[in-house]
Amino acid sequence: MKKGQSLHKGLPLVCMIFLFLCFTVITGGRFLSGNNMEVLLNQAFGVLVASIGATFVYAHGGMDLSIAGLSGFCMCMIAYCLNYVNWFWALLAALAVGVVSGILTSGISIAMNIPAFIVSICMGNIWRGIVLTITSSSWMEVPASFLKFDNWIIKIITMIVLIITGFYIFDFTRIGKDMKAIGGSAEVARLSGVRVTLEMLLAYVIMGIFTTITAFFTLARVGVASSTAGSGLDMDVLIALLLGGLPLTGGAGSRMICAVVGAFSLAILGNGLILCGVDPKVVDGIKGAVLLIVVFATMKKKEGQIIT
Amino acid sequence: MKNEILLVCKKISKNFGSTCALKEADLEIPCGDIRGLIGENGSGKSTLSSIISGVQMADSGEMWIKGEVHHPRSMLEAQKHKISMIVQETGTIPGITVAANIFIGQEKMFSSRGILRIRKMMDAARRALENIGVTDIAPDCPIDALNFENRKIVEIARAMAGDPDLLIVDETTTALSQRGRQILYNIMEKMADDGKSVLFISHDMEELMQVCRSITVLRDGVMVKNLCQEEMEIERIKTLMVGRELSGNYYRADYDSSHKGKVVLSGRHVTCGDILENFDFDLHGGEILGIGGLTDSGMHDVGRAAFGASKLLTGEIRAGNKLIKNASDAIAAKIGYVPKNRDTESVILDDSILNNIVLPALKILSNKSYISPVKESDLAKEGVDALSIKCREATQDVRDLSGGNRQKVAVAKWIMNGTEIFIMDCPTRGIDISVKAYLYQLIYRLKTEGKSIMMISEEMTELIGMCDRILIVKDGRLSHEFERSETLSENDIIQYMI
Repeated sequence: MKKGQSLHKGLPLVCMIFLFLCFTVITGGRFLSGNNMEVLLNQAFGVLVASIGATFVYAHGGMDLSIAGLSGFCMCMIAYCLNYVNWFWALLAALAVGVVSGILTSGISIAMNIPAFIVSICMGNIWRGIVLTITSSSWMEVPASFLKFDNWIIKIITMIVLIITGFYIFDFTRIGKDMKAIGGSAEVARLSGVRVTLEMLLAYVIMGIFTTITAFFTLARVGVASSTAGSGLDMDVLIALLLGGLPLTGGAGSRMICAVVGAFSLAILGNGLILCGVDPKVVDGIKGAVLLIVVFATMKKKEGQIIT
Repeated sequence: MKNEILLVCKKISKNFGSTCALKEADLEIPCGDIRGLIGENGSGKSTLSSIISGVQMADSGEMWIKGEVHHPRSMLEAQKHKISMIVQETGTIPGITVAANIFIGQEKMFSSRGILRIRKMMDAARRALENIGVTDIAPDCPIDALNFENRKIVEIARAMAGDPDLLIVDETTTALSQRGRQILYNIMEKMADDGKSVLFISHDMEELMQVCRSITVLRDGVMVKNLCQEEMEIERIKTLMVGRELSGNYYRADYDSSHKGKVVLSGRHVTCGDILENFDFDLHGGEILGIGGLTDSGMHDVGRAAFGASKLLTGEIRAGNKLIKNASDAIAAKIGYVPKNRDTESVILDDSILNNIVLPALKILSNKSYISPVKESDLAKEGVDALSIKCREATQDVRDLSGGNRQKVAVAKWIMNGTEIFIMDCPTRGIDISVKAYLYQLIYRLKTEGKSIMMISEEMTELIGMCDRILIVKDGRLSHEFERSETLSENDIIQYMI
């Protein structure tokens, strides 16, 4: 059993390294060029940041499918605020939105006794609807001074800080451990003193905050908040986490490294395939097929219970 | 017919990876016998019964039913040889009716031209229920509307519907009330009188003595001894099971029911759950307070209310002068709760022993917000040692442990976070005798250390043996209070229960 577990845990990392080496070889080194590494970083960054926040939600057995619409709305919010205030206050305003979104998602779920992830689907649609309305007349542009944030040094620093913060909270504080306990069994957690509803609410608030940060940097890269701003983020995060080895129902097997390895694996895969000349439309399909294989290979096959 | 042999098992072996569950075990059951099968957790009794009933296949060995070779690859195949089994946990399928459950897999009996004749199935289901003496369960009732006990009864009807020659009862009675048990005992007696046989597996030795006509003892995967009626004797069975003399007392030796005098936990006018109404109780420091009654009497709700696990409709629970409204309040007041349903309420099966033990202690372990993995690991190791939990290491999943060891994890987590008031609901349910004995000694030791214990139990002997005072709950109200005494017997208590 122990041997199987280490294999299970190490596989996503091994796959990521394997993909990295594969593409290096196939593209004759083009993959490793400084230019491409920067592109890779930018592609991984958004999903990575969002996945760190998402780990708290998935670990407790939840799912947040509102983050695509939410990040789109945050981008609109920041772009709008930048007309009146500097980037700091714009970011703060957007963070407030992220927090409120988390509270709404979780709060409605508690009040109406509906699973939070279903509420998140509705919230996602609502945010997307608002974004479409706002951007219907024109897309929101940002002042040129804001584009300075699309800088690989800033991104690397931000990434490292967030990864370390994520690891710390998840592995060394009550918050992370409570999330895993709730994912294992919400009832046992409750009867062991975990304040389940509060912690679940906290997880969605954390998700909201990290989504806002993703939106901030995505906006700096793209320069404009369009009607499709942020779309696909929820699915990319889900695929990244699963590629990284996170159990779909959360619980004890959840680890923060899944977010890091998964986000990079996804970016490496997409980036490498395009470098090889694969049609971008086909890349999505390939990502799906790879996900299927990885989940199958790392799924814990239930051994027959020992009955004695 | 009485002297014919119904079932012969020769040299049955079964391994699970490196664990040897059965080692060339033999078993012979004659017609008309009610054979008890007993052994510690890990002795192989459930493995053997699951092989006979077709749940799994043996690695080697042979079986014969009435002279015919018996090698079932599934339960349906075993049913063809007229073998049926009833289990301890849920054995019915949710989402469908009682009748559909009774005839699951046999729907062909009621189909004509591809269409299922529901009315025919309902009538047959009604007859099957009447056959076991039950007339108050409707065949068209959805199974989810029934409580656990009635679902068990439906499972019994299913097992008997095929008119089996051999009925295997695998630790079913622990979760049944007197009514359910009586239905089962009547069926077993009738089968034996008709020349059929029953294989009855249980941890409850008094029950085995009362119900069985012979007993087989298993130990470490091997059949140790067959005892016929005259040889059946509790101390002898215990010795054979464990392989050594059980020294000392099983329960407490003393009759000193003194306690510290101060009330540490009290309930006033507590109304909780479906039945419990206006219930009062006082738990004193250093006292073992027993709560007894029938399963549906509301006794289990007393524990849930006392821990703040269930909402109170009226009344209040106080620890000292602190009001207890939820589990967090309770834990802050140093109360711990070991619920009745171990695998779904007490421990997280798919998480490590370490994480399970440490969970209620996280607040204490936090240094500002930081929780040191070293401190966690030390605490867990302390817990494993303190309760002598049998495991390779604390990072193992709780799912890998036997029932008795899982219960030890459940208790360890409360001991390790400094609990002073323990609420234990059926603490020895479904646990083998050596862990039971261990827990009784532990509970007594906690009392001598000044801790308080509320012990909710459906086993009267346990309450009589361990408690300083016993409150009997009947129909949601206090029926009687007993003091610890050498002369207290089950008969004294039973009349206040039913």
